[in-house]
Amino acid sequence: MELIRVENLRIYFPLKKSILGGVRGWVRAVDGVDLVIGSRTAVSIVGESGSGKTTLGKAVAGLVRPTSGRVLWRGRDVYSLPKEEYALFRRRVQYMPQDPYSAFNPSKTVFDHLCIPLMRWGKASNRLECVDAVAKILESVKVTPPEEYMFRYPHQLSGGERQRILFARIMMVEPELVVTDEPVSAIDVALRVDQMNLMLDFLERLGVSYLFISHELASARYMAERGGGFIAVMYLGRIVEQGPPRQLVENPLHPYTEALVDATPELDLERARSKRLRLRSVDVPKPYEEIKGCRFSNRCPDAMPRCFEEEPPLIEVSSGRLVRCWKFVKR
Amino acid sequence: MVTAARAVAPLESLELPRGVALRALSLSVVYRMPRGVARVVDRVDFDLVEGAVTAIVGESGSGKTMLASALLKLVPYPGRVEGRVLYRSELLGRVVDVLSLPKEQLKRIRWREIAMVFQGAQNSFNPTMKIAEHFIDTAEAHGWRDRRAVLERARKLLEMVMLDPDRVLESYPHQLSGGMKQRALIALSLLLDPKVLILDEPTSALDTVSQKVLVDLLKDIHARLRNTMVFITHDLPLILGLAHYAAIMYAFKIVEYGPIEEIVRNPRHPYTAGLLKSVPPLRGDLRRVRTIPGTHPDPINPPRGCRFHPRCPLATEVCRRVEPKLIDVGGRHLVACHRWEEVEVDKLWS
Repeated sequence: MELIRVENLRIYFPLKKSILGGVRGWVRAVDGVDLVIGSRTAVSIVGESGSGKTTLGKAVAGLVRPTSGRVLWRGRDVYSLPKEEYALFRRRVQYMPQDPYSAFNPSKTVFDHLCIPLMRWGKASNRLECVDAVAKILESVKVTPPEEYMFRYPHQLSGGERQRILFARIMMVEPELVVTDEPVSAIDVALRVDQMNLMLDFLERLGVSYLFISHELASARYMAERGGGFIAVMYLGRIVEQGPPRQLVENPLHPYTEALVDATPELDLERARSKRLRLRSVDVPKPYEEIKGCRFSNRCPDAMPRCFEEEPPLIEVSSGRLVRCWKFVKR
Repeated sequence: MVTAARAVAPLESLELPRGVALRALSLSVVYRMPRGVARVVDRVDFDLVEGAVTAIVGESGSGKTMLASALLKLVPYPGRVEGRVLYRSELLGRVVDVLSLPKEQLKRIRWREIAMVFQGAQNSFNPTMKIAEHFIDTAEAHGWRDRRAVLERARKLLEMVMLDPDRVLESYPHQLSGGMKQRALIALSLLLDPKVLILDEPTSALDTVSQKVLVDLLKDIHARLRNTMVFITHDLPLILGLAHYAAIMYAFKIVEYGPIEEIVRNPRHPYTAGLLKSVPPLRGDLRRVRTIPGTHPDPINPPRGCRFHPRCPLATEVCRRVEPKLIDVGGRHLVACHRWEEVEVDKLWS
């Protein structure tokens, strides 16, 4: 079933000259994105900083009003929902921020953070009643033993623990989709799979969907493949490639996806020693720079004259496999 | 540290063989806390091979940053460093114990001979100073006052890290991206041509592409300078193509050390094997991924015997009682495990 449909979404931010001055230009954070997220799936968005992946995620969660285009939730435009339905939407679609520390009140304990929402949603009427429920919740996200963690303050938790507790808090309101912004990039490589398995467990048991935002291709693949979804690669506000996870990483079509694949560390000694990036420029252009033609053209190792003139369309090369590159457009 | 010095042999009798850049002897970092005594680095013996890249790999909280900081006696207050760090100083013309050097001499060695770039250090540029001034300032602090010569060298170094000197020298830190700042900082760390460069998680907070660019860059720098590099990270796959040796840390100790090929293809410690299995693979079958159950221990009252035994599928009675020593299993491959001969990556946690 279709949960979220993003249609030709554009989100532009003005660049101001000074406090009084007029608009100098626009940062086109999201520039014409289409995306469908089904129920009980994990969709991964991959891209560098400045690719617009976070802005897209926020728009899906109802947190950034689009400049144009629509975000549909169960077929209805999120940004013109009546008040009560909007409140329901905000409960059903949750956003999990990149930095879990900033989502906590430093002066409140883990117990407070979990008990307050329990009382708010009528699942407990006083703090005493919370104790068992909070213990159960902590166990469900494998923060154990609960009695040891319950009365800790956020600064006494590791990054991974904070993330789990925040996740537990989100799960309390029984969302159908969680937009997770870089949930594993700040934690140790060895612990990433555990964190993703925890999320996938909720997908399997309760049917929660994820929009998994990451700059890291291996995690994006793990999540999307295990979650039965796909990967979309973003570059400067646009989707440049989309496809089934394993296909996309093992046979990347777009030169940018190829660069991401080449840049991802693997446990293969020969590859690690020989693999070099094929990029003409290592640094991403500034987000407000006007780029004629394909947005990747100035870094692309395969750029042809046409790439500097005209932007390629996003075309479907095989079922579910989309790419935005002139190399794949047949004349 | 006066108290620590009593525990080990007097200085005169200590020597440093050729080919060893730094030697840590029974190195510990100790914090006394209300809850008890935390040894966040616990009696580590360690040789740093001269002219090679060594990775120190471990989880957050395993003591890897503390170990590197202790090499320069840069441990945050109120931590105490115990043991010895031997180093052959060109500046002082002899083998010294870094930890018992007078303050003035220690200051001369830091950055000039041994430089350490801390984690997130790209944010430690002074926001009110241009990049050029950072170079001049650093040179002056070490008595190099020829501004033109300093800037000349700065230009060369910035080019080496793939930055445009004209643009970058005249920029303020906020005008550069995270990856560019990190590269500028590495150029700055090379200004005084240190023999040893220690980098603490230099790629964390960077994008995949910037990470790869930085790692390749360090590889090129090393090929040119042949300096001794230490790369601290939690990301074992990341340093595969760069490092020659890896030291795996678990629970405040080095549990395995060896040439990178050995560590990856023939790990002898179950923890190392577990690290290798827990990496989400980019390609291939996802079903072979396994994570290590349990959590990393606290520095106060770590497990008795082998510190990994509560999480280890091979643990027996002896592992619960006797702490294994780091032994050489051949070819500079060291491991601290009673059952190192039985470790088979594919069979653990399967």
